[in-house]
Amino acid sequence: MYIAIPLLAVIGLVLSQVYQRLLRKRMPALLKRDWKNQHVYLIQYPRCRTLPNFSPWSLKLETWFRIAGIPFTNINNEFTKFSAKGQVPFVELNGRQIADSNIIIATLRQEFGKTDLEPTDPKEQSVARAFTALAEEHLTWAMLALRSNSKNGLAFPASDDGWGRHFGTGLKKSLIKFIMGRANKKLITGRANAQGMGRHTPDELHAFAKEDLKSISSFLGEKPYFGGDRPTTLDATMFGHLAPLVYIPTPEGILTKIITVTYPNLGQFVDRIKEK
Amino acid sequence: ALSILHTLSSVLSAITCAVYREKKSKQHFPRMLLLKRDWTRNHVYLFTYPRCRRIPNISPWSLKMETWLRLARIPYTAIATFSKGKSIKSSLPFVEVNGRQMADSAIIIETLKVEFGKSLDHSLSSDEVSRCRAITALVEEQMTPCLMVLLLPDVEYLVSDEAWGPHLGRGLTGWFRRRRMERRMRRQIASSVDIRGAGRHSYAELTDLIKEALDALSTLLGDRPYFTGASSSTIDATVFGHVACLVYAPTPDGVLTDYVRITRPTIGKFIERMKETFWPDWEEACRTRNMNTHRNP
Repeated sequence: MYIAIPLLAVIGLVLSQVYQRLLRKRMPALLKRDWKNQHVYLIQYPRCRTLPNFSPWSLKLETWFRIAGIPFTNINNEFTKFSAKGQVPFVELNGRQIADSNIIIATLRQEFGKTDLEPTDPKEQSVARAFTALAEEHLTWAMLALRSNSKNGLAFPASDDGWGRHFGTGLKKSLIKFIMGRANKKLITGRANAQGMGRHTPDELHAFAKEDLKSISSFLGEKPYFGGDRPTTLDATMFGHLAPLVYIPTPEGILTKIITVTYPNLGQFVDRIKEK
Repeated sequence: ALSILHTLSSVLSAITCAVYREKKSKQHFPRMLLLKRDWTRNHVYLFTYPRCRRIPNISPWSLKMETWLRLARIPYTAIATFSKGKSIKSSLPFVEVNGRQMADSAIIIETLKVEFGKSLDHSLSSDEVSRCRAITALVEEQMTPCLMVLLLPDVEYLVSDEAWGPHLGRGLTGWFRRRRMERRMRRQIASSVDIRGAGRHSYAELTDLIKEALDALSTLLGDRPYFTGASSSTIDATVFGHVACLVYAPTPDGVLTDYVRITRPTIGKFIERMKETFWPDWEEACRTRNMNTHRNP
């Protein structure tokens, strides 16, 4: 009888810890506690100067929200907050966290009923999916591998045009810039190598990127948007991945030139979406 | 004593310089030392993984490469190897042709098309070319990494007797080699998929992604015999290489195999058709583990 109470207390303590640990893994703490109903909270990297966002996936997501007309609020993640999957961008909606930009788009499309943003023809849907894969997985990784290979291709995020403004001033700023530049380069190089693109030479990567841009340009043709007359999800994706190539200086400026000069319809497409 | 130190330091610095230079130029200059010394002219030597029991080659890119060589009617000899370190990009498959080594299937295909003067994709319009490129990206960069994540818990299958086990040896040495290979494969696959984001999805999300990719493929194929109409081209080899691995290599619950065979019979029939046309020696190759059961043109 005398050991029952402390035993129960111990068991209760252990169970509560286990419960907390398990639950903490499943339900990450929300960043925005006082959330409004049916309002999306988008957590992404802070703003840059020449480009709203450095990450293609964040840019794609935010462009999609603007095209779809979904009310959203941007929240700065201070480089420290990541989703349950360890990724950025992610959203919080109605008390739930959704990660991975493609899953977010699919879920929010259903929730807000924005089915008019997809081509209705299944063949066009398949083609859209294929081109999404081309831009997202092939072109962007080729670009990242190129940047990590070249000397100052990865200098943008830490520079003044990028996130420099957020670092404060003076010594703290230079220190953060220095450390972040190095760490960023190592991170991106490691990622490119693991992904597989990092093992190609810069010439081969340029060839890949050029062929990809050629394909995308040929697919766009003379249409104002990828979906025809109205922007669709594919337009958001393409803009998200092409705009960094235009607005962030690429190694030797080759890719930027390719987009604006060799395939002017791509450059015009980027400008058109930007205006909107 | 000082002179010894001097000699030692110069020797060490020479070694370090040599090693550093070797590492640095590894990517930009191809290896001078070929693996196949007595090569025949205009004959491709394909270095790839050994044969398995259910599928000639368990790596999608290697299967795609071999299918393409058969499709393009290029004479080749397949050589089984595990050592990626010998190729310039440290990747399999790689080829040696006319005294030069090339790696990465996409680059190999483009180069061999020019070198052997194959008019395989010449009749395609620029629209179709761009579409084929997009389909290639969908299959290679989105679908197959998801498949890899699904197969990651079953890496033991790769070194089992059905797959590469017999090639890794028997007895105690074999056991050690198998464990080492298993660890190596697991590390490599895990790092590659984790970076892409595919490694972070849940099982349901992965199967959904693969199913959507298969849907897209079957829609794009339609009722044509091949992706580009009546005659086969590079994109067919690509899709076959990746989807055949999905169908024939066992997934934990056979969900995806059923999906291909039953729910999306278009793609299932396409795989069968490619198999009949370009791999009539499938059973023989798998049973005898012979690398060269094909007949060269």
